[in-house]
Amino acid sequence: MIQDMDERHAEYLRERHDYAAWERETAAESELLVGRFALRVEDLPGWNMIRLDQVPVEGARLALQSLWGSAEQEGVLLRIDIIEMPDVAAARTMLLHLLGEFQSPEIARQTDARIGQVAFESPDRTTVLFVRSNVVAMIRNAGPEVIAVDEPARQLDDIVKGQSGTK
Amino acid sequence: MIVLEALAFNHDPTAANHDAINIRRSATQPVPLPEWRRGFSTRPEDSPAAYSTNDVAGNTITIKASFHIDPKLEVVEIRAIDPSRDDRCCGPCPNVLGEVKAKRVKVVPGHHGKTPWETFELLNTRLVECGVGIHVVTWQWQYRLGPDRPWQSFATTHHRIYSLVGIPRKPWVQQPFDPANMSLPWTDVLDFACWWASGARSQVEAARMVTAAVFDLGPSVITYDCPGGGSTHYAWPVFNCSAFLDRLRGGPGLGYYVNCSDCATITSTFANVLGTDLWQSRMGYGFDLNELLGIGSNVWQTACGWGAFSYHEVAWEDDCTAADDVYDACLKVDGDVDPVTAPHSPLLPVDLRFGLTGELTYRDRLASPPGRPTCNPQPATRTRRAVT
Repeated sequence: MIQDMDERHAEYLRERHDYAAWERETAAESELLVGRFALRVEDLPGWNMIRLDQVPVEGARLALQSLWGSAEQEGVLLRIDIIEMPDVAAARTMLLHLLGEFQSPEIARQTDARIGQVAFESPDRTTVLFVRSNVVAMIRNAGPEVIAVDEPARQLDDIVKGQSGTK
Repeated sequence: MIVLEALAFNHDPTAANHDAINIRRSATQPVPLPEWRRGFSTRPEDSPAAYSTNDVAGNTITIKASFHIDPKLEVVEIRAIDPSRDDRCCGPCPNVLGEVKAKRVKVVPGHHGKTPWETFELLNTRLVECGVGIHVVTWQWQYRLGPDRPWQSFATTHHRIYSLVGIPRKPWVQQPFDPANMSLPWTDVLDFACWWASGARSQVEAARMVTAAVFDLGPSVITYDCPGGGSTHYAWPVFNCSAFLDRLRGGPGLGYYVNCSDCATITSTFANVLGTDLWQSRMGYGFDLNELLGIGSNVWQTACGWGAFSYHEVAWEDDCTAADDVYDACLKVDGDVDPVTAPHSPLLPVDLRFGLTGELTYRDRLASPPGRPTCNPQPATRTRRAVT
């Protein structure tokens, strides 16, 4: 369950993140949808899944919160959240909602479309959140040793692409 | 000749002024009733019970007990005493449930010596004077066959007793009292909350102590999420309390980082299980900051050096407006007469009114002068996140 976003907060976020520029998907973007996203332990080479919880998110088909440990670097943990929405428009709305859970004013839109169809990141890429099709993904550091997360984010984006099918 | 079969502390799930409240162990485990059963309950933690000191104050607390008594006997007198009987034992609050008042128990013919539930009164309880806490209660059960006969011991029982300020508030509920109700207060949470607020005798004192304890979890257990942009890790979409408990016990939980929403949720959830009445609520939007000490940090800076917050969230009383008091476990503000400039005196915002600009209360200490006009209470966001 999620609470409806406070309208004042929503208005602030829409303006701050120029929601009008990415709220609507293109025709091509709306063609492919993911149904019943699956995240398996072998999906991220170099990472071991430590924890996986399915959580209740109102309006979502599926929402997963997971914790992964680096197989090579002690103290490096990744937090990966995946939310599968019923359609692309709902996924864009959910992305805005997730942006409302960041206190930092420095989370900004990626301008070079490296990951997903719309993506936001922290200045040093230690946090990435993106939307592709009807799936929203968020990749963050969770351990005391901090890394840039764009490579695992790219791997995750490839997984989402691989699970997309024509609606 | 006589065997103690079972003890019930929570023998009335609809009330809490004479008996224990409704609890469960965790998200997945209920507390089976009766709490103490022969052959199953050997350690204190096998027999947990919790009391609201506000509700039992001035009342006689009762328990229920059942026995197997030799059918050849017609009546026995039964009591339970504190085997230590030494006020110097076990710290300032030994045996908070006192002793079990002696009572004559008749053997009912035709039941092979099995007695129905018998109600016993407790004497010399110390729940109210001891305040919040976790206590081990040990009783030595005795019987005698007449007023001139000596008391004989026949059983010793141990119980883990939680004392709270009041009935737990949301997200914790007392009804329905049903194993499927995950929102009954968890003893897994009480194990920490009662420890953190040990000795508290009021809601405010309990809330203060929990807030301080949460802040003090940094940097060893949790720290502010600078790498992640100050994002919510445990408290979205609901409070993953099970994961947070894992973190408290040394496990990975959902990671090392927290933000204000997490701290507000942890504080209000762990305080409300003791009977306080806090909410989680936001302020905003987009405001510049004074220098602060974030949870887990010893560097005075404007929140990871960002200069501003998009929003902030705290545990908050009542209507969560400028007239109401906040409990902020996420950061310390400068508590001196000039919170804008160094040097800084660290102040944990507990029981501190949010206030209006110029009043030098919470708002002025958190937000810099340019930021204050957009650092406004947002009571429409007031919530108490459910727990999983």
